[in-house]
Amino acid sequence: MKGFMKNFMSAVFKVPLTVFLGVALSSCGVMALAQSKPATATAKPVLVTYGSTGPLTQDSTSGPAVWVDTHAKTFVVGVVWLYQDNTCRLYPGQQGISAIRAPLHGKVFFTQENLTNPPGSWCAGHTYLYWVARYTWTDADETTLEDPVTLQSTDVYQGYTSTDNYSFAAMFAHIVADPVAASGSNAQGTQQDVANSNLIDPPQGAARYTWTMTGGAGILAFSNGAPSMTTTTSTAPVVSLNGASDTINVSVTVSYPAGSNSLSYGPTPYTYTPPLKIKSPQQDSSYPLSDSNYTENAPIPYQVSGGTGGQTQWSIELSYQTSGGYPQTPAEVTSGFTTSGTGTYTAQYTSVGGQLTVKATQGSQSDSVTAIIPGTAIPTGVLTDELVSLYGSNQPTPRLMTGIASVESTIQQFSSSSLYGQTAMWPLASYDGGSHIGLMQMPTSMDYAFNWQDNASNGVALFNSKVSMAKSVAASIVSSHNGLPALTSLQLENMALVLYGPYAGGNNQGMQYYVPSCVGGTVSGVNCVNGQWQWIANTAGNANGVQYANKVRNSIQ
Amino acid sequence: MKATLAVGIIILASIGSAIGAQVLPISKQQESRSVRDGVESLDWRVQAEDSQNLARLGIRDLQLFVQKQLAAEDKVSGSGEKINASYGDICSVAVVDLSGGKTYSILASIDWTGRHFCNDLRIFTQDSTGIRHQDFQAWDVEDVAKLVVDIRGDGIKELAIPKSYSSYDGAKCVAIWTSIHATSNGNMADVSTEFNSYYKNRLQILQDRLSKGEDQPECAQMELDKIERFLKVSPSAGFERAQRWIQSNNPSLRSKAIVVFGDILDDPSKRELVKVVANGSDEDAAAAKIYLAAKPAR
Repeated sequence: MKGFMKNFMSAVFKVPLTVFLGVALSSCGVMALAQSKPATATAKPVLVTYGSTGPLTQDSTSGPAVWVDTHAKTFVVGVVWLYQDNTCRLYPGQQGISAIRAPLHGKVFFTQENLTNPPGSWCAGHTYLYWVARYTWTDADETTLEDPVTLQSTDVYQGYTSTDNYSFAAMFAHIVADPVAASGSNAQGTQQDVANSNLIDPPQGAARYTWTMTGGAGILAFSNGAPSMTTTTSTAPVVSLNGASDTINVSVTVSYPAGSNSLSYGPTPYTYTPPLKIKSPQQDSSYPLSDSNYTENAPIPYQVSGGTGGQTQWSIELSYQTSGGYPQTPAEVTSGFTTSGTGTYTAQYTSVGGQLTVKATQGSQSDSVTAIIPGTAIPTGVLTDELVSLYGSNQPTPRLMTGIASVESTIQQFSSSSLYGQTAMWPLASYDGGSHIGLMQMPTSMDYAFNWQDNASNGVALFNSKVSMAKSVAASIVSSHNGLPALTSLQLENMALVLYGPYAGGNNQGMQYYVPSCVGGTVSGVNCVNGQWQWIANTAGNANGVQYANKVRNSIQ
Repeated sequence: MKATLAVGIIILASIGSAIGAQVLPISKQQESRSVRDGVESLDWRVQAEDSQNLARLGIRDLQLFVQKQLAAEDKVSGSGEKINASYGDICSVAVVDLSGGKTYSILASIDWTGRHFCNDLRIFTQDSTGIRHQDFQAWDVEDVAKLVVDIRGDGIKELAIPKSYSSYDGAKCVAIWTSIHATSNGNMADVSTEFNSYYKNRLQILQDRLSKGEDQPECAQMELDKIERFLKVSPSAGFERAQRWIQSNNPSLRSKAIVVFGDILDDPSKRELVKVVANGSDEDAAAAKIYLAAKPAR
């Protein structure tokens, strides 16, 4: 019983001296003390207080807290002086009641009312004209929770005055609305952000709370979807029906099981501001590079709901790293922009992908989501056509690049795999965790991962540089072997294949696809005496390299 | 007073770092003073005076040294300028004592492809004749410092060099074989047979991996089988598995089966290779021929 004020009984005597007599009849907290009267009276008087549970006489004068509101004159107590001789007779004299400690936040009203003592109580069935005190909270400040009051009952008979004090705390509940916070369930069981309306210090013994709101029609409602709701606790969740904000007035009427008057609180104004939420893109949504070139994604709309409705600062971070941590520092592309209210900003991304981390900020509020930009299945014909085009039709083996792509990637830029917790068409990563990527298994980077055209063109360009290198190495070998014929352009391709593959040895003449062999003769310096220098496949010096080149040729599509 | 103390601590820390370092990954090495006459002119002995000590060189000096060595090999200008990527990129370089406290070596992994395949491992040493190097066809040596091991725990370092055991298969897995090398008469010699404990440990790692399941288990399985053969746990481990693989429609699996037969190369395996030459695809037959050429079937 918060703020309950301990009171004390103070009997004020005028001559002659009086004697206390205490009678405890109940434990419910309504208290009274009787004071003896002089011999001129035929019996001693006893004060009977009629509280919320009926009439009582007790040896203490602290009453229970009484919950009040700003509307009703809430019954506090009725008092009457009787003979203490079990005759149930009204004690003679001039009786009355007043407030000796006046309320600070409300007003006490005094009336005389006929009350019948209920069965089981003192002088059950008897009706007396009680001096009754009622209370109404009148203070505009509704944040104060209690108002202690002390009443004094008097009886003046034949020059003797009997007094008795009765203290109580007028308790005032009030409505407080929490900020919109953790998700709760609405009437359909759907998770929804809620703002709880709470009745602070609710009346004890309340049976139900009937909540109503005004304003906010079609926008705000209680969690049952309606503008009114009955609860058995002192809390009613308010939800936004459409994610928008609005201002409402919330009231609540508290009812008791039976007998007592109901109490009403409010209306209390409250502005419901939904939390800032990123409405789009949604968490874990996917925007593949699905345009006709397989390099650009569908437009991504950026939009918020809730918040203050002002400017929203967006920060976008697109990050890519394979499951094995390639590149060692994640490739990142960042951007930022501003939207106003629930306006939408649309962005497309070209030749980049990975995990999109989106953060929206409005003042102190922020929200973030992650989405993904994966690749898409590119038809094999598209890839091989591009490779053939890049290499050129005048080459000794015009479709040679399809062989490289077949060995390196089985002609795929993207394949179904899991990354960032989502299975999608991610760039084809090498088995070691992704040191190499895509169609031509180039060193992993954002560009080579998500721009298949760059992957192809740079792979082909690299191969062409290997052809040039092969010519140089071959010329060097020819110059030191008299009579060794120059390599054909197709043989140079084989040399270049070894130089492109993982078993390349650079200019090391012993690591090439071909090495000179003195066939039918003996070597003497740069000469093959009685024989002929010929090129042979270097399976002795670089079997792995030769095997790679052969595999490429056998894999041409 | 405080400043003096701080400087003293820094100096002591530097000295401690230099003395204690056996393997100095490039990232840990401090930026050095300029080596006016080149790394090759320094005294590579571990006990060399501080101003000459190889262990105190910075990454740029080491890279420059390796570039000059490669340029010299290619008859490209030896002036030390950045070598064209097509001539080789240095993936990593480190100064290592592989001699048990006598001389330092410089390890470098090099990519010759322009695609970051760091598969060429160079070990540079210095002797009375000058700078020498050994060349190993390794596999995926992103950081040479990680190759340095002390398997016996005696302070003398060995090199665990990974090599591709199965042939390169693009984005698919490559089976690895790791050989152990140690300094012997000034060269790094294959001493794998002296380090069964290393392979037993590796065997356990592979068994654990396979028991947990892998996306492409065949490469780990190939390595595991090879280790079992190496340790003579099972002289023909993997043979029956390779017989199944050679029947597969998957060219990658067939290719791996040929590697297994070629590695076992006992009479049953040779007979399998002969069958591949006779009936296999051109590519498979060519691969099988290479093994048979080395040791023809009877």
